[in-house]
Amino acid sequence: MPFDDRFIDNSGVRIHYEVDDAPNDAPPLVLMHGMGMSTKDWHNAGYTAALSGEFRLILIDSRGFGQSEKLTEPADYGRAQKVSDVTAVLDDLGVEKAFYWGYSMGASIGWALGMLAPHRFHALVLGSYPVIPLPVPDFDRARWQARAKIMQLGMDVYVAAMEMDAGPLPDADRERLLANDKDAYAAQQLANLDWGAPDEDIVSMTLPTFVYAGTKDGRNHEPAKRCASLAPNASFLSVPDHTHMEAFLAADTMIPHVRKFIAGVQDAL
Amino acid sequence: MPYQDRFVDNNGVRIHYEVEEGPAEEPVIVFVHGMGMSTKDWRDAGYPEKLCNEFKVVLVDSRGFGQSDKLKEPADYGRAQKVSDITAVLDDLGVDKAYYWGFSMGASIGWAVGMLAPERFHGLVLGAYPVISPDVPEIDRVRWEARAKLMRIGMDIYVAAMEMDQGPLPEDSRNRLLSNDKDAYAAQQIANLEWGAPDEDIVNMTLPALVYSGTEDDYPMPRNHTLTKRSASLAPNARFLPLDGHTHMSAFLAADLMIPHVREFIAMVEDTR
Repeated sequence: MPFDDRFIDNSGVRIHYEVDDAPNDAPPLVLMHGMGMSTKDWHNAGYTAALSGEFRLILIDSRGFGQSEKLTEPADYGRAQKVSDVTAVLDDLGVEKAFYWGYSMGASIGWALGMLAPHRFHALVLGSYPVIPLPVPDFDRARWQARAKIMQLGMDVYVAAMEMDAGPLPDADRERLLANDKDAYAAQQLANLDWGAPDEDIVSMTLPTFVYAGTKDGRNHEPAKRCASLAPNASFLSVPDHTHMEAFLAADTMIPHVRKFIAGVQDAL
Repeated sequence: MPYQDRFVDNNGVRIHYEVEEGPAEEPVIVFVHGMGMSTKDWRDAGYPEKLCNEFKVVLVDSRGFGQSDKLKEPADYGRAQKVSDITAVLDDLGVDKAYYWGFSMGASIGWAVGMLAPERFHGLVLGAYPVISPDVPEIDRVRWEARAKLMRIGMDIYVAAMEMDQGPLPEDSRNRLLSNDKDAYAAQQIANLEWGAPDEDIVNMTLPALVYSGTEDDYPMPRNHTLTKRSASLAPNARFLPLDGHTHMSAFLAADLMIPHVREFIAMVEDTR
């Protein structure tokens, strides 16, 4: 199904999104990618082909990625700003309420949507990322600062930093990384330091939420599960034997779970 | 125990070594450290103080590390050159034959010593590194080249590349890495590409050798434990000791665990001399 490329100005920041020509009564579903990715990755992994027609699909390039504007200051990547990019797209489309599916950074933005703009969503699907704790753990602080330092030297240096341990990246992964704006990507690593939210905010988040993570996603499985246990209307699915990247690529595995979740929410509307 | 700092000129390359002022004149045991390390790390891990009453302990800074000369070209870090650094130290001391204990890169040099200068050694103790294959696998080539690229920008960037995955390094590990010469370290990563030796050379290596590796050691090469065990299985007079549950670094720090095994190995070699 064809997608229409659109751009909006959100308080001076140009945001790119895509919308398909689904029937008007199809429920709107926003798809939000992870760090270093873009709308393209949802297409490539087969999500849009599988869900098209059933939903009105809205794919957004989060600021700093894809065809959206590349800002270079961490302060431009706060929770409120990234949340406003999503609601500005809904405004542009005249959509009052939508479903939301975010993966990795997209899930991080999704948690923020559930806390800062819950009135614009029926429900959230959040893949493989927890709410960043407040205060941010030293472990994560060191990792994000190290990444930013390396990215600022060039995405090729960041690729080398991944390859020095893991060996050669698959070509598709290398090309995706190299396509990023180094300063915009680095700024978002540092912006993470201000993304922490206290447990009380998760406990107060009442939107129906479906959280999932792969059991081989070592850094994210347990924290994502914990956040899901704190949010009163959230459920959690462990995806057996999936790493972080594999759980994203598992469109065929995840789509039936998400359909069922959304159908349940619609029944209760 | 006090020790003497010494320097030897090996064909224009200044090599630093240390000799422990212990009571024993022999047997002599030469220690060679791993990449990014130096004589200091053997001291910090307690090896010389535990062995200096029964051996004449000699610690060598491999070229490019510690207080030895920092050469910038990969071609300066070939097998023949690094082996000659060790034999130059033995010559300087007037020692005909010694025992050798190398860990990680020091073990890599030790395998080369066993192939290129076996007449200068009674036996080898080789920790946690295999003989590099002459057909360097793509994964290792890419990893070494990536490391060299990062190191050449600066050791702080190499540290950041480690920390972006593992989180903050312990203070002593970070300081040890930062104290390295970035270009000398990078040159040795690239030099690795020329360190391969065919299986026949291992099969022909007849020096007694005690080879050990942690069962959880997949650093610095993937499958390091498996590859090290394989190299040991090919050498006719080598035996292999797996260290249960040990990683690369924990096997280096396990002086108390390893020393009794090494004593027993050396006693056995001495008995057959």
